[in-house]
Amino acid sequence: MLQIQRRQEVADVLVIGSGAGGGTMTHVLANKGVNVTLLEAGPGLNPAKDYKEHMWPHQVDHRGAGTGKNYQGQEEFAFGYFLAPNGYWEIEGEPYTTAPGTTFRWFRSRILGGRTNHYGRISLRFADYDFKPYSTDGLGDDWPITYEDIAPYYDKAESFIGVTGTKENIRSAPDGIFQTPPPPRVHEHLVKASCDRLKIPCIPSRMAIITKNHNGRAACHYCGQCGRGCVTASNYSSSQVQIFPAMKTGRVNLINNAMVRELITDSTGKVVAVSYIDKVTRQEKQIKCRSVVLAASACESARLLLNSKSPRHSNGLANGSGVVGRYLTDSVGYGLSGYIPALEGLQKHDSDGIGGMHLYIPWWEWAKKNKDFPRGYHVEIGGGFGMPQVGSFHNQCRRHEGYGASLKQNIAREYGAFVGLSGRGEMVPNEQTFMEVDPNVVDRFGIPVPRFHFRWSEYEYKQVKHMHDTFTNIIEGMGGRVMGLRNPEREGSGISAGGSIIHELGTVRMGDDPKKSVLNKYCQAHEVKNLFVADAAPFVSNPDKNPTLTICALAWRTADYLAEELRKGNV
Amino acid sequence: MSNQPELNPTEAATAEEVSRRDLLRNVALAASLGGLEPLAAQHVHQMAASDKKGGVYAPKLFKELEWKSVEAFAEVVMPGASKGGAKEFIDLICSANPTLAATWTGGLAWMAVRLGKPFHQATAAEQTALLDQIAFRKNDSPALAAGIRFFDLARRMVVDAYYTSAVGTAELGYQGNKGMSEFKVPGDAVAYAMRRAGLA
Repeated sequence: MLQIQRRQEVADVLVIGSGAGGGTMTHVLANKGVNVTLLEAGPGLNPAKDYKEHMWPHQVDHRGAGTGKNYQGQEEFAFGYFLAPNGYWEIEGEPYTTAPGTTFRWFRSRILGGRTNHYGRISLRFADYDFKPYSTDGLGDDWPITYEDIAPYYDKAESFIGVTGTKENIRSAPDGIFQTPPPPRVHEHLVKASCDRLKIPCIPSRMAIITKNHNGRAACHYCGQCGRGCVTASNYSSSQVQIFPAMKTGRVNLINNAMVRELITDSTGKVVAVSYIDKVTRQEKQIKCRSVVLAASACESARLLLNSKSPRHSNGLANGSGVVGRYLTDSVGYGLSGYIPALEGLQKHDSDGIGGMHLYIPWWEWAKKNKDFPRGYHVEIGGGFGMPQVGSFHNQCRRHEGYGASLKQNIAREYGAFVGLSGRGEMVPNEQTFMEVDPNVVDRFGIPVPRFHFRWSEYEYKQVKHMHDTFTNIIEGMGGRVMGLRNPEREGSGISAGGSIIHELGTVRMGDDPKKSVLNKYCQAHEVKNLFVADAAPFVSNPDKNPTLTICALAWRTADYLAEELRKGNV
Repeated sequence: MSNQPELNPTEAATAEEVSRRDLLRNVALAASLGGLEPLAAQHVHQMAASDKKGGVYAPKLFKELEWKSVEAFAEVVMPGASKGGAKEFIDLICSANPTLAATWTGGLAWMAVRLGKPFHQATAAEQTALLDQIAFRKNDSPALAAGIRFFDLARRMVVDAYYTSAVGTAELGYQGNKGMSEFKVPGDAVAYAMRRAGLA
């Protein structure tokens, strides 16, 4: 019944997944003269057609409300209708399960470029101590690489994709190669002044957005809509910045709608082919390869290894250690909103700017010894005169009630007078948080699905309490009022639900010891020499910096190593 | 409709097609900033035009008296809402959502019973007397509970319709969604806020 269509060609490097890791791999290898076959589980992308940048809500009859689920307190779109084709936590026919008593939300973005089409563009280098967490505080494990090992690749990634920022000489936020950042917005001036009084640093944000023309891409035009996808490619997306240009080398063979089922190994244990389903025809296909790079996202890559079982690899491929799927983490998330009367009556002006914050707060207590939780967090700042959208004023409706002129006055007075602070912190890996393959459930392609186990520990709950107190101080320092009563410890409304910050990682980790790790320091499998991983699965820890820039830098380093190994004939 | 509509592979352009487009063409478009508006128009989703053929919206859910009531009701809740297309928005959403549809038809009927006539046939004084009761949670009572619940939803939908319309967005003073070559922040705006916050 299962008739496999075997393709004749042999791919030099077969990359699975086209997000930040797969895009960087494709870009670097193709430009080094290596032929790359890129498999993407979703369709292709046409930015001019698929991005809704510059659209007004009134240009769609439903204004972005879809079928109105938000009025019933339900979610219909992740981050709203106007976002770039951005995936979701639930995909029809592609379920996942969670162990009883745990919550985990698994975001997937099945389209060329993956999550880089819509992501927040925050681009923070990990600090030197982030690579040595065990040596620093005795928790978790050290990475097999140091900051010095990856620094040249941070340079390459920043130089190529373009990142805003300023030299600050702060240990928790290493400086990089920066484009000039835009000036702070009015509310950001207030946040900074309040932080100054609290002796908390507040500095220009580091965003993968170009403020000068760069590599044939136009400088940002400050519409503030990066999340919708940028038709001028003025921000980083792997699709526009890496994959489309790499295709012009003629060395990239892109196969869309290819959902990979498993990796096939030979008697020597090397990967010799990849088996996938062509989603358009539901035809089972196989493609031969000399080497393979998993860049399908941390949990998808781990799932693939666990599902690639053979008599030789009964535990799943490259998993003699049994750690594939272990050490799963997500960022710790907590947000607080403040109403700032000082912003009432502010003259209206265009505050769109770049997509997201112009200033941010890097972690500042890294040297403090007596705090009651390990690690730290950074703080993202929101506010300004946003484009009115469906839901923008539900808060005013609930708080002020009424109707007509009085409601209008309340809305007008409060428009642009809110500041949001979001903490993004480091979770320490724990034994109760991991993923495995659910033996009882398959997706619509017949592929066994992941089952998640997720627990926050006291470390994270205490960190969130620290966020709550700090945000309250910053808001009150601007003469503001904290809005809403929140219990920081309540999962979902206080501390974020696992997976919901979409920084899940660690499931195929690197390390020097093959008994405790899957990959060596070049993200090459200890047990399978022609198998590499280039997403966030190799991360040994989940520092308080968004992972994308480090995915790019690490993938670049892996690509350099792989190209050299190919040249030497070692792979 | 599922939560996450599958992207139709046959509709999505292949990357090969995209790669043939010179990315510089987009750059040129953006560089002539006056070109951003047509660029925006190019992205308008197909849904935008689908229900406006012929220029007159035909309600999908509301019957004649309901349709007139919704119009009058929305106008009282947010003056200008009619121009903002509130009734069309509400009808469209409710036609796709049976729960919301039931709340609206039920709420309109509830109001008509209280008023003894459809909402749009009541005098302005009668209309506001009723809304003054159901627009506030503090008035909650067995007699008003259904009206208050309806109004809570209806107000949010009318407010959304109004402020996402061109007229509502303009009234609010939102000035963005346009391209500029340099981002500037008015210095006097910064000074105003810093002074008021006691941070100057």
